Formats: sequence, C-alpha cells, structure tokens
Amino acid sequence: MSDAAMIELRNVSRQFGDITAVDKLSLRIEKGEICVFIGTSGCGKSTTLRLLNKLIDCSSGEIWVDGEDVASLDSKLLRRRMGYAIQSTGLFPHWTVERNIGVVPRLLGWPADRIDARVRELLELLSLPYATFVHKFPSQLSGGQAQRVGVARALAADPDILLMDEPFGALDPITREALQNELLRIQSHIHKTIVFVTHDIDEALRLATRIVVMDKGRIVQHDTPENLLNNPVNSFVEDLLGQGERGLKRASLERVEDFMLPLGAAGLPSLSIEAGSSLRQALSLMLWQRADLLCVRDQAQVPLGILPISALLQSKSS
Amino acid sequence: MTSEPNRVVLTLALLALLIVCLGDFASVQANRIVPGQGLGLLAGLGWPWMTGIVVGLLGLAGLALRPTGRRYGLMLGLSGALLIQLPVALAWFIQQHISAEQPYARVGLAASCWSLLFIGALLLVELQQRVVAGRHWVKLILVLLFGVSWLLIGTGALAPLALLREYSSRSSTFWQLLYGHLSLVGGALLASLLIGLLVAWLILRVQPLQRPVFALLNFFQTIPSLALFGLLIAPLSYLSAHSPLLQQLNVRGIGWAPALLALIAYSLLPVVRNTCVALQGVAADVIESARGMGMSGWQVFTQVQLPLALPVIIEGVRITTIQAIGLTAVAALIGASGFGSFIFQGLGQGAMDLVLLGALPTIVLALLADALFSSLASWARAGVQR
Repeated sequence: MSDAAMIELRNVSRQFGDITAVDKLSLRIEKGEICVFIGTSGCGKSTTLRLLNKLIDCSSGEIWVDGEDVASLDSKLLRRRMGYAIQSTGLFPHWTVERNIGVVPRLLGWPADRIDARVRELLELLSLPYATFVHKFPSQLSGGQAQRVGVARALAADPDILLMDEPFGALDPITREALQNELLRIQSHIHKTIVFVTHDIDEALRLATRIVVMDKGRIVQHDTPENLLNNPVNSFVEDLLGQGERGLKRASLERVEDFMLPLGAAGLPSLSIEAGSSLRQALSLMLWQRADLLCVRDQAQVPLGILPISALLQSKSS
Repeated sequence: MTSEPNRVVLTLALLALLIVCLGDFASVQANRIVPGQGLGLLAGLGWPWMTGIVVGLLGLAGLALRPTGRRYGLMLGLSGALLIQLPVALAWFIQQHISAEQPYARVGLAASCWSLLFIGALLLVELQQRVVAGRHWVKLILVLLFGVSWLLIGTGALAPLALLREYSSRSSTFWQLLYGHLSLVGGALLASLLIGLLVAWLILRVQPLQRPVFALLNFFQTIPSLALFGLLIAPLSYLSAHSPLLQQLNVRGIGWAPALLALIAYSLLPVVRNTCVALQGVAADVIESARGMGMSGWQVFTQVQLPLALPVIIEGVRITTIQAIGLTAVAALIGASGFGSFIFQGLGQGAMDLVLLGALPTIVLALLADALFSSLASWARAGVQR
C-alpha cells in the first residue's frame, strides 16, 4: 500500500456560526476504497463530503487530495476531477440525458465525438439502452433511471474520486438494492476511490470497504464492516447497528463458501444454495424449509460442499 | 352514432340568426356629418344573399343538434364560408347603395355585420378542437378571409367603408402614430427590462431590499394611469424650464417624456416580479449539482438558472408589453404620440369610425405582442418541461 492516501483530512473543522458541524476531523481514505460515512442527520457527514470538493470551505485544517492541498487548487478544476452524485439527482431538467451526462466532459473541452462515445459507454455500463434514453429529458425518467443517469454523469470524465451524497436514499427498497449491486459491479471494473454518505446502516455494511461512523462532527469509529459489527466501540455504534439484528447483519456479510464443509461420502442434501450467497440467506432457507443441511453448489450447479447448521456457528474457517 | 347536441355551436348559430334578422347589416351616410341610415339584410343585400346567410346559419344549428365527425367538418366549412362572404357582401352592399358620383358617401358597419364577424370567430375557436387538423383549416380560413379583404380593398371596391375613408384622409398620420406608439412601447420595454433585470439581480442578492422595492413597485401599479401621467407633468415642466439640455431633448411636462416615465414605472413590477420568482424557482439542488460539476458562477447562471427561468421571465415581458400598448393609447391625453390620438379625436368629434381607426390597430398590436411572446415562451419552455 502506498504511503500517500488518495484523500487525507488533517484536523479539519467547519463552523456555521456557533455550530461546529465538523470538529477536528482527521482521516485517511486509500485509493480504491469505498469509504462510507454514516450517522444521524446533522452529524456532519454531508458537510464533510462537501468540504472535499470545496462546495464548502474548511474553517481550519487541511484536506489533501492525491498529494495536493485542495486550498491551493481552483475549486472549479478540483470539482471537475471528482464525480458528484446527490440524492435528488440534481439532473438539469432542461437538458437531455446525453447533455446531462456530457456536462463535465464539455466543461473540460472534450471534442464532440469523444463525448458521444463516452455517453454511449456509460449508458451501457449503467444498463440504460442508448437509443431509448439518450434523448429523454429527466422528467421522463423513473427515480431509478434518473439516479443511474446521475451516477453516469458523475463518472463521465473518468474521475479518480467519486463523491456520493445519499444517492440511493430516495429510491424504493428494490430499486435501491439493484443500484447498490450495480455500484459494486461497476466498482469491481473501475476501482475508483468512492466517498459515500448514507444514513442506512445496511447500505453502509453492504457497500463499504471501510465505514466512518460520525456523531456531532467527530469520528466515533473508523473500521471495516466486519470489525464494526464485531467490536463496536460504544453504545452509539451499537445502537446504530441495531442491537437485536447484529447477528443477521454480520451473517449477511459472510459468504457460504467460507463456512462450508467438504463433500462427504453420504448422499447430497436435497436443498441447494449458491457458494456466493450470504450466511443470512442460507439461514433463511434453513428456517423456511425446516432443514439443517444444505448442499453448496457453484453457479454451474456443480456441488462444492455441504453446509450443516452447526457450521454457521463456527468462526470463519479461512 | 348518436351524440349530444353541441350547445355552443347551436347557441351561437341561433344568436347570430336573431341578430341578423333584427339588426342592421350596414349603414349609409351621404357624408361624414349627416346621420347614417341603417339597412338590414333584406334591404341591404337583397333576398338571395339574405337567404344564403339564413340557410347557412340554420344549417349550422341543424348540424349542431346531432354532431358527428363529418358534420363537424361541414360546420367548420359553413362557419368559414359565413366569414369569408362578409367582405364580399360589403362590396356588394357598396355597389348597390353608393354610386360613383358620391365621393363623400360612406358605409358604416352595423350590428349584424359585427356580430357575424365575432360569432364567426367564436365558432372557429369552438370547432377548431373538434375537427381533425382543425388548426390548419382555421388558418386556411383566416388566410382566405384576409386575402379576399385585401383584394377587395386593393381594387377599391371597399373604399367607401367609413373606416377606410377615415384612414385614407389620415394615412400619413396613421403611420406616424403607429411609429410613435411602437417607439414608446419599445422604449419603455427596453428601459424597464434593463432596469428591471438589474433591480431583480440586486434584490436577490440583498434580501432585505425585497420588501421595500416590491412595496414601491406595487404602489406605482395602484396609481391610476391618468393620475400618474398628470402627476409627472408638474415636475417635468419645472425641470425642463430650468435645463436647456432637457429642452433640447424636447423633454417637457407633456409629450413623450412623462408618458415614457409612467410606462416604465408600470412595467417594472411585472418584469421584476417574474424575474425574481423565476430565478428563485430554480431548484437549489440543481444549482448545487451544477456547482458540484465544476461550473463557474457565470456558467451556472447562463447555462442553468437563466434557461430554466426564461419562460417565466418572458411571461413577464409579455404582460408588460400588452399593458404598455394599452397605456400608450391613454398617454395620448398628455400629448404623447400613439393611436390614442385617433380615439380621443374621434370621441371629441363624435366620429365613431375615427375611434375605431385608433382602437382596432391598438387591439391588433396587443394581440400580435401576445402571440409573439407566447410563442417565444413556449419555445423557451420546450426544453424545460416535456
């Protein structure tokens, strides 16, 4: 791991009048991470995000992006290097999808054919058929489609950093989950550094490589999802995780293939589950079918191992 | 296919029939001074023409009882024919009642002619929505109506019409007044746009100014126009008397100067209000994301705020223009050039045709301004909301 973080905050504070929204925050975000800020409303998570692209200026402290102090950078040029997606999409209602996605490349002065090629590429990446969507206006899109366009717009100029402020917060649960999966799929191809703000702990656990829990402008805990679940530092984090559901939340982060046992001589169990599924899904299947043993198969339905209910209680095998 | 009777067409057709049978079609005056003699359809146009009109109206009423798609087409055709025959009927009327030896004799339009014109127009409005490609048929009818009228005016067949007689004796004044009217409206519009946009920009930046500025502009709007014109006479006379420069510019207590000032005062409210509302109405998150994309302040304004606000701003300009066209007519009372001169002269002389010569172009100007700015606004809106 290189020494220079992609984003580094050093003792950053921001006051609005008497209120301290962000209080002496220090944080490193490494390249390729999905860093998720979570906390209650007013905890300073959105403010921190907007400090990064200088939509708000720091009252004190330094922010370094890719080895440069942002205070020394022109804010317009800085913002063009960072993708930005927000909850209400902020799409320009008087422009077509094409023009909306092309806004930053156009600001950067790309030639028209390069912008066009990029728009095609991004619409394909976001599973929006080019011919159907390119000439539509934002008001003609569903919430999920509009948010996909918002993400495509954020990615347009191929920025190294993506800032996302509750981008999926206004979507229904099914669309939200689809877009979360989409984001993970895209991230596995593009390896951006993503800073993501949410108030939904399940979203944070699902997406994050690291989670920053914030309260009253300070960092309460900065950790991987697993560590956060296993070792919450205080009752605030415990409450955030939801006391009664922690087991299930952890199970949803753990994969069946890490817990399965080798195939035995005995016959295969009749119920099957895919190796990539979560323990939570496996447990749900067992509870629903009143079964204590599952057969683990890969995507081609080839049996890989078995999963007895007792295996769920072991600590991670690897 | 049974259907409900179309009450609008039915009512209009029967109303027209009633007026046509009872009212005069046109009147004949030996000269401008003597009272005219009104003639009804039968006396004025003879029985074949009258039968045609009556049968046409009865046909409309009959078709409206059981309308179908085809019958709506027929109704539109009949309404068009009723309108287009009007100038021809007038030419026929003139040929019957005015001889070439009467250079001062004139023909005035009377109740049934006017009502046929207006009811015809209302019928077009009603039927346009009910016929396939109705808008295009209505356009065709209007083009034919104007074409036929233009042709008949060109040949001199309609020359004895009182309105045209008034025009021909004042044609150079007419164009001067048109120029005067348009320059006052244009000047007021330009000035109020410049000042209004500046004021709007200022009070959007300095919020505490909003209340007093709107209070002042609202106050201007509540002063009756004539009173405001009157109020400006004294201070302007005083200034003019003490400033040679103003005298050279022909700024006096009466004339174009007070009219222009008053027009600007009235025009500011719609311009400022619509500009403020429009710019404030642009969603905050859209502006935020525009900044987040890396647009400069100027780019956010020209590429995002202004295009989104433009339809509402143009709406303000439309209101301003129509209002200014009407007020300029009144400004004739304090000596400003405009079609109001004809109206007030006509009122003074009891010559209704002269009043019409001033009133009709004013109405036409207002309608043209309305059409122009409405289509501009819908063009600006095209990209904003689909």
